[in-house]
Formats: sequence, C-alpha cells, structure tokens
Amino acid sequence: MSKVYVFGIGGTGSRVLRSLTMLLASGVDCGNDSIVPIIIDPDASGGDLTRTVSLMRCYSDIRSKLTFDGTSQNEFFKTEINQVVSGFQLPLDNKVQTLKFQDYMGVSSMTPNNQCLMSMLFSDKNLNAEMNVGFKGNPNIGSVVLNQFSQSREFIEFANNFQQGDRIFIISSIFGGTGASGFPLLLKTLRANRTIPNFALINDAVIGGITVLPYFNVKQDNKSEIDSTTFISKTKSALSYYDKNISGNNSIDALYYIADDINNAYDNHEGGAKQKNAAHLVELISALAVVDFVNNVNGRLNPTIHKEFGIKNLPAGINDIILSDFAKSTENIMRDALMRMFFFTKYNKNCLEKQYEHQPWAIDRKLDKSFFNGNFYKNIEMFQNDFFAWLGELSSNNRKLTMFELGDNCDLFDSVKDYKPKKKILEKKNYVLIDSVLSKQEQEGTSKEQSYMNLFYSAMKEIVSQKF
Amino acid sequence: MIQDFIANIYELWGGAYFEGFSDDMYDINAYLPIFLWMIISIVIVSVSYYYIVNHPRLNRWYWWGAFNLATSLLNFAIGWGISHGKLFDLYYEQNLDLPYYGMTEFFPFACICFCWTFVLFFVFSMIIKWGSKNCKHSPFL
Repeated sequence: MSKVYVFGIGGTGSRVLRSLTMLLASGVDCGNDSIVPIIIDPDASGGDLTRTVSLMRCYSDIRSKLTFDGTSQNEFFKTEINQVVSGFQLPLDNKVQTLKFQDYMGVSSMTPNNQCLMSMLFSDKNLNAEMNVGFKGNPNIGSVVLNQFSQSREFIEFANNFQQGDRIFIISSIFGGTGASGFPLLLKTLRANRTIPNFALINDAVIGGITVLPYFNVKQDNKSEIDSTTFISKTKSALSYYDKNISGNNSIDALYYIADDINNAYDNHEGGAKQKNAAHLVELISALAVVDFVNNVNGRLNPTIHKEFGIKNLPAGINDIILSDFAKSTENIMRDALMRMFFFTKYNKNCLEKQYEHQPWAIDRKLDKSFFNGNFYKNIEMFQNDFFAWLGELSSNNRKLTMFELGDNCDLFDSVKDYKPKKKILEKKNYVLIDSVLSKQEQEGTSKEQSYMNLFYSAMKEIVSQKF
Repeated sequence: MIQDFIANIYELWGGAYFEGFSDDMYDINAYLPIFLWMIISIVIVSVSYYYIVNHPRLNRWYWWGAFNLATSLLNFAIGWGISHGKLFDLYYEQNLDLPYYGMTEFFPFACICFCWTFVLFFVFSMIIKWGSKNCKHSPFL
C-alpha cells in the first residue's frame, strides 16, 4: 500500500484537509492508498489548523479500532490517515514564533547597503511584523521564513519515511501569505534538494497540487495587515511566477486550479484561534482534487496537466448549489457516500439513544450501554457533530452548497435536496425503516467496533440504494 | 381421546369442573370449536405480530402484551359466546330454560379460556419469535 503525502499549507490547506477528512470518513474511494496529511502553518494556534488536527486525530482513533481486510463491507473511515509527523504538522523554528521579521533577518547587523536593499524589498510594516500568527497575507515574508522547514526534524522524518511509489500533493492558496509562498518553496525543496534523505525517490516522485484562487474576502480593517483588495494583484503575480517556475519547468505533474467569482467577506482576523473560517464549497472541491489525483495520476507526466473544475448547472444569479448541479462524474464520487454518512449521523443524533436497548441489531451484537458510553462511540459522536457542523457551514456560506436539509422539519428521506425518494406502499418510514434494515443485516465483526461499523455501513448502503 | 384431552384442559383436570355445565359441554362437544378458535387466533395474531407487523417500535413487552391481551379477550368472548350458544340451543330444543348463569358458570369458563390463551400465546411466541427480524427478543424487552 503506497502513501500519498498531502501537504496543506496555511489556513486554506487546513480547511481543505478538513473537507477531505469528511469525504474519506464518508467512504469516498481513494483506492488502497493511505493519506499522510502534513500541515505547514506558522500559526500553530490558528483555529482552522487546530480544528483540522483534532478532526484527523479523531478519524485516526476511530479507524485504529477497525480492520479493512476485505472480509468486511464497511467503507466508512476506510482510507487510512497516517500520522507520520507528530500532530500532522511541520513546526517552524521557535524564532519564527517569537521574533519580528527584521530581527529574524538580522537587519540591525546588516551593512547599510543591505539595509537599504531590505527596505526596498520589504515595507516598514513587513519588517516590524510579528510572525507568530503567520505571514498575514505577505508572501514576500513567507518566502524567506518558510524556507527553513526543510531543516526540521519532522521534515527529515517525512523524507525518511518516503518509499518507492509514494506520491505527494500540495494544497495552498495563492492569494494569502503562507500558502502562496510555501507552495513554490516546498516544491523546489522536493524536486531539487539533494541533501534530504531518500532524495532520489522524492526528487522523482509524482507530485500534484491545487492552488486555490481568491474565493473569499475579508472585511476591511485598518488595524489589520490583511487587505483583500490586494488578493487579485497578488494572485496575478503569483500565477505568472507559477507559469514559469512550476508548470513551465514541469516540476509538477498535475496542477489543479479552483476559483469562484462570488466572494464572501469574512471577519478580518490576522490569525490565531479566531481564524476559523466556515467550510466552503471551494474547499470541498479542492478536496475532490486530492481524490482525483490519488485515483487518476499514477505516473510522472510531461508536460504538466492542468485541471479546472466546472459545475454543470450554474444559473446566473443563483448562489445555491445542490448535489445534482455537479457533473455526473463528480456527483458519482460523493453522492452516495455523503448520503450514507448523513443518514448514519442523523440516526445517531436523533434515534440511537432511545432505541439501542430495544433493537435486535444492538442486542444480538452486545452493543450495550458500555459500548455507547465508551471512547469509540464518543469519537464517532464527536466526528459526526463536526460532520453536521461542516454541512451546515457549507450550506450557509456564499456560495452555498446545500446538499441536505439539516433540520428535522421534514421526513428523513426527503432531506436530500432535489432527490425524490422512492416510496413503496406499506413501507416503514424514517428511522423505523433504518431500525428495520439494521436488524436485517447479518454482517458481524471481530470486535464490537467492527460489528457496529459493518452493520451501519451495510444498512446505510441498502437504504440509499433502496430509496434513491 | 382428543375430546377428553381438550375437556381436561378446560376443566383443569378436575380443578374447574362445574356440575352439569361441564358434562353438557363435553356431551355436545363444545370444547373442540373453542379450542380450535383459540389455536387459530393465537397462530394468526402471533404470526402477524412477529412476521407481518414486525415493527421495530412494537417490540417492547407492553406491545406484545397488548397483542396477547387482545387475543385473550377475544377468546374470552369466544368461549363465553360458543358455550352459551351451544348450551342455549341444547336446552331450547328440549323446551327447557338454560339452567346455567353468567357469573357462576359462563364467566369462570370464559376466564379459563382467557388464561389458556394468554399462556399458549406466550408459549407459541417463544417457539416462533426467533425468525422475526425486529421482534425476536419480544416480550423480554
């Protein structure tokens, strides 16, 4: 089983990894590969980063109790999320966290000529910038400071673990500071650094990347260094740099672009715990780029292939996307998987507590109070709470992706937008049907955790194919 | 032979023998239809409960109890109705008044029908419940 190392750079990297984790938990197919997320973000306390790291830890904890040896049907949490570097993060030098940019560069000890050069390249604001919450939309700072990640113990660990057949994918935004500067730096290190362990394998590895173009603004705040009016100009100059130094020299095999012309304005936080943006359609599509890369790009490509994403139905002035607006190929990748996870989550949220002591599916497998009060189920509950929150954020952002009706105002199977469920005479309804299908399943497992997941996966699979 | 066996069931092997009433019931072979109705109703209701209704929300002991109670009450009525009808006919043909009364003979006999139905419904449930998907643990839930 080969690994795909997915580098998530900056806040966007973390948010895309969050969406990817949701897709993998739902059972979106990633072949037999395991995913190794590695986040590069100087803002170690960033809300986006900490939320994603705890989600991936939760995923790994759940998966560690399950086996996927071909005897079980279960595809929830099927793809392994491997923690090769501690906390899924490449930490930056402590100096970055504590020093101003000019102190980090040692401007005061430079010759007057060099000091003049520095003041040409960096504004006073740049030079006085604290870097503990990232580079605040300044890729010129990031391109200098981020350069030191390749010396970190964690990066060496990554390189040591790299094996023949492993691949690399890089997620970054082009309009901020960390992602825009980190992507070319990381790529250059992977392709040309001959001092890292396994350099021959890494230098020749299949590498893909997604560069996320502006898809949100931040509210104007004179106290903040982040100014969204510069996003487009930064994007243009970065694209022209990528044209020569990334695609132009074939240092990447597959490059995905994603953009949207509808921009939501988020609160202007330079970083820290408050930088916790709501999930966005663009991030989900970026996560699908990772899935596409894993499933379709298996060898070195020359020239670089470029991929963009389009939506089948996008009527002018309509900001609300539903599942059936995607092209069939996209819909096929995630429709059934998300539906299965959605109904699984709804059942656990609204019904499980009242029913498990009375239903044969639980009694026969000894899924009792101790199981549902135990750590495994607590992790499932925690994960599914976040899954629900993620769906809610997607459906309230701009542009909206409303796949499901999240409230309890309609019949359970009417909650998939734009899909009419098949109905049969005298058929049981809603959660009663789920209980009924659960009790019909014969899937067992070698442990209670395995039994529980096998059971729910096969039941949800049957329900989705029966109703849709 | 079968008639004797069924009569013993309703007379509780002598424990519920009612002078005259029990003899008449035996002579006109009234126990057999009551017994058959009991068996048929138990089979129909319990099979329906476990395999046709087979509902995840009806698998608690009290729902099973409600189905059993309904069947038992039905057999209470059947026991009373058939015994009263057949004995009435018997004495009517002889231009005699029915010498048995509701509270002294028919009611205790109908209660016995009720109790036997309740017990046999339970026994039959124990035999057939295992194949039910949703109610296999009923009535122990």
